[in-house]
Amino acid sequence: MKERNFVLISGLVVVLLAVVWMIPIYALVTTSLKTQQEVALQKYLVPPERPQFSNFIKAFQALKIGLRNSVVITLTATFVSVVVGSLAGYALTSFQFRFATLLFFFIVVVTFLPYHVVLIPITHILKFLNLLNTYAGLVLIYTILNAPMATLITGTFFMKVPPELEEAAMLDGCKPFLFYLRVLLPVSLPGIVSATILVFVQIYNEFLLGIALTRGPDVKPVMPFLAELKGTQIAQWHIQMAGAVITSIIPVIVFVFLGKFFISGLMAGYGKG
Amino acid sequence: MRYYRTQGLLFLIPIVIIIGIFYGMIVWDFVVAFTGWQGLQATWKFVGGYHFIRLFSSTRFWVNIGNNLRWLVFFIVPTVLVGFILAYFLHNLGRGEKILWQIFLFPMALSFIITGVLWAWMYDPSSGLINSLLRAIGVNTSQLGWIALPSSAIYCMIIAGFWQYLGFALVIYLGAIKGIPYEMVEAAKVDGASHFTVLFRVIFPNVGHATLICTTMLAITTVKVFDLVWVMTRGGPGVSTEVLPYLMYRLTFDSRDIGMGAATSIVILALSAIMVIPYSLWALKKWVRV
Amino acid sequence: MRRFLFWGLLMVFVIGTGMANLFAQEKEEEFIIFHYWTAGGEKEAIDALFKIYQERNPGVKIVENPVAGGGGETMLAVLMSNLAAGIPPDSFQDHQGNQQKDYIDAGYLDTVDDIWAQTNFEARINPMWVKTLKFGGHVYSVPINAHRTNWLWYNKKLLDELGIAAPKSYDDLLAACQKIKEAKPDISPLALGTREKVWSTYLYDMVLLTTGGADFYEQANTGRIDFRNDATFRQAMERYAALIPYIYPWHATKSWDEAGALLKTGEAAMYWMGDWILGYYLAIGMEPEVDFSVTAIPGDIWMGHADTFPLPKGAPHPNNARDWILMCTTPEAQKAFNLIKGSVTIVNDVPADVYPDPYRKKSAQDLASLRAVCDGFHGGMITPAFGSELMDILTRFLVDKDVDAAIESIAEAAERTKLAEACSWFWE
Repeated sequence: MKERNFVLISGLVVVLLAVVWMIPIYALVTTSLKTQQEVALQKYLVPPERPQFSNFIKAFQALKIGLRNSVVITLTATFVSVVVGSLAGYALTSFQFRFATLLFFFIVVVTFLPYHVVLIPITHILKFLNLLNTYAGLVLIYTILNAPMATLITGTFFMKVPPELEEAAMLDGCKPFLFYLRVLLPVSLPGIVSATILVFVQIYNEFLLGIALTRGPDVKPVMPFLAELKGTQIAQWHIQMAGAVITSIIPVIVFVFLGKFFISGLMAGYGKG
Repeated sequence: MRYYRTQGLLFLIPIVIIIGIFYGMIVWDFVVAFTGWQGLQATWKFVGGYHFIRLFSSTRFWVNIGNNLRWLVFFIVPTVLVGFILAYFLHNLGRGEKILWQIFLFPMALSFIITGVLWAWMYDPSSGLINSLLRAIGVNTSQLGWIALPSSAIYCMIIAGFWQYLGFALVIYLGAIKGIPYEMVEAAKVDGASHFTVLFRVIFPNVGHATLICTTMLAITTVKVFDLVWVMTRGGPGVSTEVLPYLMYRLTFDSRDIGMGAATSIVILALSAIMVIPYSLWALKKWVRV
Repeated sequence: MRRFLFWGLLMVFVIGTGMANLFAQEKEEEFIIFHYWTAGGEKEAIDALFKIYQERNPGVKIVENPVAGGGGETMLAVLMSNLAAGIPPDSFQDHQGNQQKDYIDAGYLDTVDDIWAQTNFEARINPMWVKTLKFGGHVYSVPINAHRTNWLWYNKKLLDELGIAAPKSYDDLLAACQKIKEAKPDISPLALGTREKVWSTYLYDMVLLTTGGADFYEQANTGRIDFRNDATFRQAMERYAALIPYIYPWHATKSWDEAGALLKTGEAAMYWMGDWILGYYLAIGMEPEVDFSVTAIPGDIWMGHADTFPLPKGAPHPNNARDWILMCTTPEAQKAFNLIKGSVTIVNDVPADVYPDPYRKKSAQDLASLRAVCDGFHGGMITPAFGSELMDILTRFLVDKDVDAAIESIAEAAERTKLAEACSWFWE
């Protein structure tokens, strides 16, 4: 009885909060369906008179190359960052060695650096490697910028894994990489999923590097394209908001896909109340 | 045993290379901070601590520091707390969890270019959400300017940040709660513990790692918060909502005073390092398993 | 887990194949350009230029790099990193005056004196442009258009209804504000949007110009007055302050276009803005001379700025770049671009009657005949460094209305950024 009440009340709170959370998104969607005239009236919460689905077609036309590029770049860079980061997180949490604290400290500090200030050296590095305007170049830079964060998150989750697991594996003659792949990753799957989601949105929503390191539309990610939709001396909020709805689809797919792994972690999570 | 360990340590190589590149860039930044680079062409003229003296003696810098502190306090605490409770609620809900989870996560799928504008619209004094609601219940809103007023603008922006990053805390706590052994919670419930007790006495101590990572990541976000400021107010009215990374961007690219911008970023890094030192000493003691 | 690995390997493969490196190959048949006209009419305008260019150079592939964000602020960051790394584009969108001078000082631009001489360009434009495009006897770019910024747009119905004639001077403007406020307390007489802070400097230019005239304006904006003790400057700031009670109170929440649309929603009556807003007004269905009209303050001066295309030093395809710049001097290219863009041609050999609307006809006529000045920020009268400080000062001033504090801050900022020294080129 008490349990029922709790679920009811907590459910109510969550749903109410969700409704509040949806209001800006509602403003986003209504604006994306308006005409430019209606947007100019600045009644953000009033629904459109006649939904303009053509906004979405226009936005999609402009965004499609960027969407392709972003899918390739973001998925690759996220994958590489999480692999590099989780390997490092594993080594940092599993083995005691000299300078461990120092290395950890160095890793954490760099995550605080606002990358805008090092835009010039970043461009120099890619020019030196002859990787400007390539997928590989952007993947490399995004990996460099996000792997430290992935290390931090995954490492934190790994520290909850009982050391006995590794001792047992070691006695069975298991190699470290196999332990990492077969035991550690499955056991801390929720942690890996969290890290993946966070790294993914960081890279996907990045905007400045995508312009500075590309030439023409061939490899440019989608966020610069989205920013272009509004215009500088013209204000097409309606098209830009339609574009925002379109670009949000890819992260949502990723969230749904990763959400499945969230629930099916191998380690028995505690059950439903 | 020894062999195993050596092999394991090899996994650090990629991150060490990455960190190496990072520190190469930071050294570059550091050097620039001590040169008189103004305008678009690099001038490697040593000016000593001139930029830092100029920075510390400007009132604008201290306004920025104050704003960064406001972000630290008023952004992190609510986000972590609400994210934690929400994760517990969601986890207990069973049906609907997956959809509701997506709703809270959705703001993270949007670029700051968009969320900043959406929130500027929400705060619009004449037709935005908040004043519309207040007017509906009969409040006189003619003086409520929200982001138009220097006194309230920063808090309005923090709420927008809260909206955007709650999903972040939620994801991490949900991941952590799902990793807690079933028996532990059941045992407490059999003993007749209330949900409040379970939440704060059983679960909270067991998701310490999540709290740690949440706080750190959100601290990083506040120290780097730039996007929202840039889109919502450009630091205005006046410089009332400016934060250090925004100041850095302005100095570098608007004032074209690269040396000053670099000096600001060094200050950001130094402040972060001060925050990070005790944390990394403490965390690593807990971290190492074997 | 294995599935994850599979996808990962696939991704690595995809990047491997995507390594088409444009820089390594240095194809001469390209033309690389940065600009910030990214959507709608402005994009159509630059596309019209691309079309003409393509006809002149059929084999050349145009590599376009539109950079959205903050009216060119982002573009500067991008350009800076590219120029510093030694990978300049073939041309990019720029303004004149101090906006361009930073690139020249850094040694990033090449001269195009020969193109100017060859096309007799200097004789075809208002002398003000020559003054703000020639540095030490050399020119580095060609302007493509001229945007007028001393325009006051107003709600025609409302002003007619209240019997207010179109303001011609600052005093008219203030009187109109008072009248509107009395008759319609719910309407803000003057719209303004400072979510992008730069627009606060447009009003600053206006009060300087209407208080001290064009010569004083140029001296003040190049730092040649004693800000602290100059009586005219103080008067200008007081006149700015006098307008503040009539400005839309929540200006900090509006972008330039949203503030302009307040004329449509009926929340504001007049708006001080450059002529690019004409394209926006037409796009949101406002009828010229019915819903809105425009008046120049002061009527005997043309104030505005140009967009220019400079030639970067070490441009990867210099011949293509030079042909682009040469093309921009032709009346055909100027006409094709400006008709769509909503600006007027910089060259005076395109007749004023090509423009479909009366406003641009007037702008073109005025530009050809009146004294012209550059506007402060975009026109490059002030330095970007001083401009950046000025916006902070003015957006605070708009809230606290403290004339003394504003004057003191402006004087300090001018000293700190060495405004007079940096602008001395203007007086040579």
